[in-house]
Amino acid sequence: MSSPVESASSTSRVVIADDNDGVRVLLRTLIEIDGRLRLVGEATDGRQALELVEAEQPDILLLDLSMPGLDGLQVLSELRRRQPTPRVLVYSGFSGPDIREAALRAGADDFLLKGVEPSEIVDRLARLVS
Amino acid sequence: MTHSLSRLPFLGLLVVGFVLFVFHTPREWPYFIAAAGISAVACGALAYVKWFEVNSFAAVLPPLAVVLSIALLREGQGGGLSGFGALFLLPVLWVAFYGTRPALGVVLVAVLTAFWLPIVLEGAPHYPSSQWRSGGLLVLIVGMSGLAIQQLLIELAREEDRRAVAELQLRKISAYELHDDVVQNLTVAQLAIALGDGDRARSAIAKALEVGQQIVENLLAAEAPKAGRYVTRRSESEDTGAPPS
Repeated sequence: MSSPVESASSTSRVVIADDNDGVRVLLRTLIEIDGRLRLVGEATDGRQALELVEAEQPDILLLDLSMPGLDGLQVLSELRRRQPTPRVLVYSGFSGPDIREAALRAGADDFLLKGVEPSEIVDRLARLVS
Repeated sequence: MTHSLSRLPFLGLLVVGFVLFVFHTPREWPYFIAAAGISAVACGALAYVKWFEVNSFAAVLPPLAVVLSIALLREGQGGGLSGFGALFLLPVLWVAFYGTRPALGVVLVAVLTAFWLPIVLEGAPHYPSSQWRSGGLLVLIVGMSGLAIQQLLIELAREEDRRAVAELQLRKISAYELHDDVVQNLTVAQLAIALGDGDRARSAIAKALEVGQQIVENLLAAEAPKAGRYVTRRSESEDTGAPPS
């Protein structure tokens, strides 16, 4: 496993919010192996995600839409009322233009459907802060 | 019970009325034939013609025709003394079960007219003045019963609608959550494969398959009654050559 590279992009800090343990663990591994970003926190629900954003002030939030308590869209709506806000990449299993549009309208910067190539996830995350 | 079968008791009782005509005197056959013809056309319209199901005005025509038919049957066997007055319950109850409230009102007025008009036009001895009272009371009682039946049916339909909406919402929630489980497990499997974690990938795929099977079972259970109806309709249409309704 490679350590984070100390460059401009390697200082970009990421929070993952996903209620599925397996997805979180693997995303963490993916980000660590890629090395361009630094993971600073993991949330298992929407409320925890907001707390982590408040506490860690990350550059990027990798956000699942379907979560217990506050869902992803509610998190986005709450983030719009805060400053500063991280760039948000929604990573959801629900396809369809309606879901994508709803997420982008709610304030997401990008939308990825679960099932894309794993390398695409970190590429998109890195592109958000480049 | 299908819609057609549920209507058979009404037809049966009407036929009983016509059969009873044959065994009593006086018998004026022209009235009987006219009454039988009108009833046959009305019943045929109810059984085969679809327009009355979409046009509420047209829907009241068959029961009105039956009222006329019963009035002719009475006329053909001695008028008010024929004992056929009770047959007027049939079109009223029919509309109470299958018609609208305005249609019920129209048929009740028709029955009252069928009772009272002959008293005015012909009078005693065939239509004695006691028919004012018996006709009025019959319409009053069967009218109240009809309204009560319609109210009960409306409440039953509302309850059925509420139940259907709740069931649909539950199914949507269930489908949403199960779908999420499948996608999450497939995502875990995909990420695990990319990272070379075979055990985690296999475990996630097994869970996804399990949840997928659960979705199929739930859908089969939910769709089974509808599928049964479809198979029945399809076999009926195959028998008759008609398209399934």
